[in-house]
Amino acid sequence: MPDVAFIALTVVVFAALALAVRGVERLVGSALEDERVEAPGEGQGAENGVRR
Amino acid sequence: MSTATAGWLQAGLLVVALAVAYRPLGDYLAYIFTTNKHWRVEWGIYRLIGVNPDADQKWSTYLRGVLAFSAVSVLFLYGFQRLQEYLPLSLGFPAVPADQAFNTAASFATNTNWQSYSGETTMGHLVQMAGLAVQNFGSAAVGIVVVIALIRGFIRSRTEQVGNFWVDLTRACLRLLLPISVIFALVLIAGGVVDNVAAAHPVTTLAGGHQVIPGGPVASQEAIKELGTNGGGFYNANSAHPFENPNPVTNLIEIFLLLVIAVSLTRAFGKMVGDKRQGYAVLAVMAVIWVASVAGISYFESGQHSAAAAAAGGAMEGKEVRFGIPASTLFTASTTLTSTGAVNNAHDSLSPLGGGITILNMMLGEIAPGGTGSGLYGILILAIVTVFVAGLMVGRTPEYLNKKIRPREMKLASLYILTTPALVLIGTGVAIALKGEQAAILNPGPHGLSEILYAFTSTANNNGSAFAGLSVNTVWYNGALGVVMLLGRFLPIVWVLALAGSLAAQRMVPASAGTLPTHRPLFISMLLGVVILVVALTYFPAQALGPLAEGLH
Repeated sequence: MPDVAFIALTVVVFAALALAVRGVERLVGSALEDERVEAPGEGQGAENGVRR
Repeated sequence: MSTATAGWLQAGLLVVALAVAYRPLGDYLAYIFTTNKHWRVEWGIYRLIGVNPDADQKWSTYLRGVLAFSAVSVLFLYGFQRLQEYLPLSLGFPAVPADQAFNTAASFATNTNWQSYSGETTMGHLVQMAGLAVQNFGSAAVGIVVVIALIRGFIRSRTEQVGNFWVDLTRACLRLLLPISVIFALVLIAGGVVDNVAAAHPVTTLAGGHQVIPGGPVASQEAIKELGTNGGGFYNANSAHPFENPNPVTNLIEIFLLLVIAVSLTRAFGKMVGDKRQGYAVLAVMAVIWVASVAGISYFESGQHSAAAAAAGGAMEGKEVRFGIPASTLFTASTTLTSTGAVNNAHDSLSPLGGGITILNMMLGEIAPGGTGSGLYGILILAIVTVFVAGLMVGRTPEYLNKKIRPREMKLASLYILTTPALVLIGTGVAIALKGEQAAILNPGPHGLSEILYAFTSTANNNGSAFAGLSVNTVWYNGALGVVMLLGRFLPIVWVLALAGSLAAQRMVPASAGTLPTHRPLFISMLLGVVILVVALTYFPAQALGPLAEGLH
């Protein structure tokens, strides 16, 4: 019984963290689109800036 | 040689050793996370787990990887402890109680290594080696890869991709932590640290008494314990135990190990952003705080404020005579500023104000130099807050490393700064308010408050050291502190990786005449000011009621 309780507690904490990810995704989700709107005409052909 | 001279010599040797390692290790760190070449053994791991190593991930996918890996780690370690009695090398120990197993699993998977158990009387060798030590590698690697993803956020533009979590994790373990740990495990064995898989040896002492001496795979875990800023001791006495830390030389090596990656990461940061001065600036802030902490704790511990201290030449209660005060305070400041939590003396026996500094060190958010990776991402968040404050002063949109700091970034930075104090202060308040948990306090008055405050500060900041004097092996404390460790570790990581994604999506903004230079002394002093004003003062009322009240009494 205590095992079920503590495994459930672990699952609940990580589920809450997953929910936080969803919430933050909404906040950050449009960042790339916002950037494209701010800088029109620099999309295709411009360097994509990806560096390792 | 006088004790003070020995202290200065040890601190000097430590700084020299860190300076020697700084450039090669920092450059190597940058190389590990920027090269496109995979090792053959890494290919095997990627095939095994079904990962395409050349496919970068969006920040949220990277974050889900961190959480999934950590959740599985917690559950695996929990099961390992609960099944201990059926496993080989269990030394006859029964299963770890459920609440303690949860606390320990959360603790080791979050790089905290808070221990509500005594290692030599609770854990068998297999759980120590294949359970706890594995998490020492995994949790340290997670901290490193998160800051690497944040750095990529600064240097990439118009993308949502911040790297591949599984590739970064594999490289951090195989190319960095494992080889250095193997080398230093051998060095520690040569220095006298034990390493075997023997059971406890019953012996007869010279006085005719009987004693049981526990052996175990200590040196192999000691290296990663310090290198990964984990801190969980094989023995209950941790690095005060002569089998874990036999002499001043091994003591110095252990302090070096717990600082070296966090310090060198600033070099890797400067190299990856293309301006090494940025790394030096961050390192300067870390160094000022570290020096101030070492000096402060040494001052209060060397003071002869009582007859016992005057007779012993300082506050020697709880300290190993083979280390003395300087080697103890050097260790204490370094371990509480790095989220390591290993101890070579009893922190509960520190003088009130010396103990207060250890709590303050952790309250700063473990940033000087902090845990592996977590220290650097913590101070980079504060750097963002600093440029924001500077931007408010002059009425310009703040920029840091060619990226604008807009409301979105500031919301995430604010969430980061608020998360840990909320966990510490609410947790401490609830613990004090509960009648049943008040019985866990073994010392009355301000010192009792300090003990609870220390417990929640240590766990929320993923340090793991304990003040003792608080009976934390109860169902409530094991559960509450376990949850605090998980939230204190992973909520800030959520904000940091979201910030990385937000920054990576931006285009680079060329520096202009109005851009605040972030490598000059002005910025360094401003960042120090933000650390003190924004972070330290958050906790001032709690400090005033605990260590300050006791120290000024």
